[in-house]
Amino acid sequence: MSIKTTFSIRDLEHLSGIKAHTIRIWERRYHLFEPIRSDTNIRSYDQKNLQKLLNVVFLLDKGYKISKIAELSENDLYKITRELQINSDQPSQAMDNFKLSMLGFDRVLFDQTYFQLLEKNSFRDVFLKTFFPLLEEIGMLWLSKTITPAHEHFITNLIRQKLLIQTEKAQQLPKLHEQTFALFLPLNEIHELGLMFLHYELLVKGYNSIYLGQSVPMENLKDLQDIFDSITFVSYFTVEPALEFIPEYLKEFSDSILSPANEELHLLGRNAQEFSQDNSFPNILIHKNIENFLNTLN
Amino acid sequence: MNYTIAQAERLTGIKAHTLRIWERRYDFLVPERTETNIRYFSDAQLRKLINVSILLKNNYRISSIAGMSEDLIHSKVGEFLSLEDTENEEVIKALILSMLIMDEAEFNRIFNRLVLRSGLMHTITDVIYPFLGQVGVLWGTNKVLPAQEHFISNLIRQKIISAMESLPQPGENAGKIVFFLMEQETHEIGLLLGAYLAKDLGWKVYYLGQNVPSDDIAMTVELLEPDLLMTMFVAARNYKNDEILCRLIESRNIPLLYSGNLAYLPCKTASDCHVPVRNPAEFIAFLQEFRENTTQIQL
Repeated sequence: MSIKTTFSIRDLEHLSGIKAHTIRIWERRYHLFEPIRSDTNIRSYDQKNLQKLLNVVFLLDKGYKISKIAELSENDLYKITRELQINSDQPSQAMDNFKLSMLGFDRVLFDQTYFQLLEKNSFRDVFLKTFFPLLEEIGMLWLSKTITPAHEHFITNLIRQKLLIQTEKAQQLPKLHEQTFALFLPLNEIHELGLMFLHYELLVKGYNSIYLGQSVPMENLKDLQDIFDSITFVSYFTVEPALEFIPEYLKEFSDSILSPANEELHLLGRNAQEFSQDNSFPNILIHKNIENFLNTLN
Repeated sequence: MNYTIAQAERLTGIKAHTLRIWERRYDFLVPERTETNIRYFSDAQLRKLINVSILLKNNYRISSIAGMSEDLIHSKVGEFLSLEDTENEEVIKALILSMLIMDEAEFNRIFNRLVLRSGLMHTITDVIYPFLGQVGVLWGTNKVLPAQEHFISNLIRQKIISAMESLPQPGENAGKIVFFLMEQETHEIGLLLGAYLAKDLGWKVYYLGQNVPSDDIAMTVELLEPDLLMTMFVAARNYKNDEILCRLIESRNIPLLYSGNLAYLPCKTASDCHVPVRNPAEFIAFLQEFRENTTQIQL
């Protein structure tokens, strides 16, 4: 396969968190890598180099000295890393594997890593402690042009897929509460993984949860009030509405949807945080994070 | 929520003309009127109409249905729908009912029963696909019910994605097909259906999803060297993106399959590289034929 597997030293820096300067020193001192040089003498690295570097970083975090690590054969390096990973609850290796799977569009590696992680962790932990940070980091990698949006699309779709499969299972669980939630994103907002995760959690807790998803115009929400006697709205503002329009949006929401029926809106997400200080609507509750919201349910 | 007579026709399959006649002859279904005297049906009336249409399918006469109580109609419909040989057309109506009241549990029951009866592939091609077309969700056209559309698209997306997971991983030498939507395109139900079918046929599926910038599609094609590309068009076209896409597929000679709102062709000039696909059957046929042809080349 001709998947692009060469990386510049900058790419390595972005992917591993080790400064290019340091990588060069390790090369000189310990012969850790032997990058290929271009005609103009510029280093380039392959996927094996990247994997090795990620393993090195893992051992450094575990307290190994770089001089010791450098003495290990490739095989030992791999073996020791694996052993430590299995015995630790640190999902950091999983993070690295997910990154590698993304770079190589490698579905199989993604699945292997995921199922391994799921053996020891609940799906909730996998999502909150690995997928969420992973996505954040990917956002940064994308900004630094180490990866392309196609990479991001690929990995985001895989994560979404895992989440939906868990949701599908959660839908078979019995309903324990009367309360019905309606989950939606405001118009033009498409960042839905956070909201999808809330849907999953609500189902697990035995609530009736109606998932409406991306970009729902406000007037559509009124139709729900014809169908359900009482409904609690949940939304997740990442980039929409733009900060300056949030007060306006919430006022309209409160006036036209919440107040007449005396219902509540729970808000999460980055853009919602910005407004949490100034929130004066009694029916609108802004939560710091997902856990915070879930805690209010019990 | 209120439904016009045209929406009622679309959702129940009963002609508007017939609905007007019933209104005159029987008093079991009298629509409300707006101030300007236009008919509309309430939620409850629409649900009743769908039930009535199911009974009609099962050889009841409208004259006898007109005399039945709501409860009786409801229980008769329940009987028909639980029969082994329920026709797809009726199952679709039952799905529409569950969609109208956003009853996820009921939708799941019907869906799971279908899967047990005819398998996932046929559930998707024979029931879900026509169902989506009927309620106007497939291409986002003729929006019948905005809130329900959101609800049902997300639920079906979930079904298809879970279904894909249960399919076996393709072999090493499987053909590669990349699925994507271009910028501004967010309507992915059709694309997911295609991805499911391709994986079921043993293809290696790379699913990039919504709103992929054309430069990235170009890059992905370079990285993955796929055998086929597949996309859907629903929104109006952005010609600059089209040009990039066209140059790409023409220079690499990779067929681009496309479907959706066929009014929006990706390029001004058609060529062998552009394969319009009108329905799942055409898509399946193309994939099978393509594989046979390429195997011959290898031999």
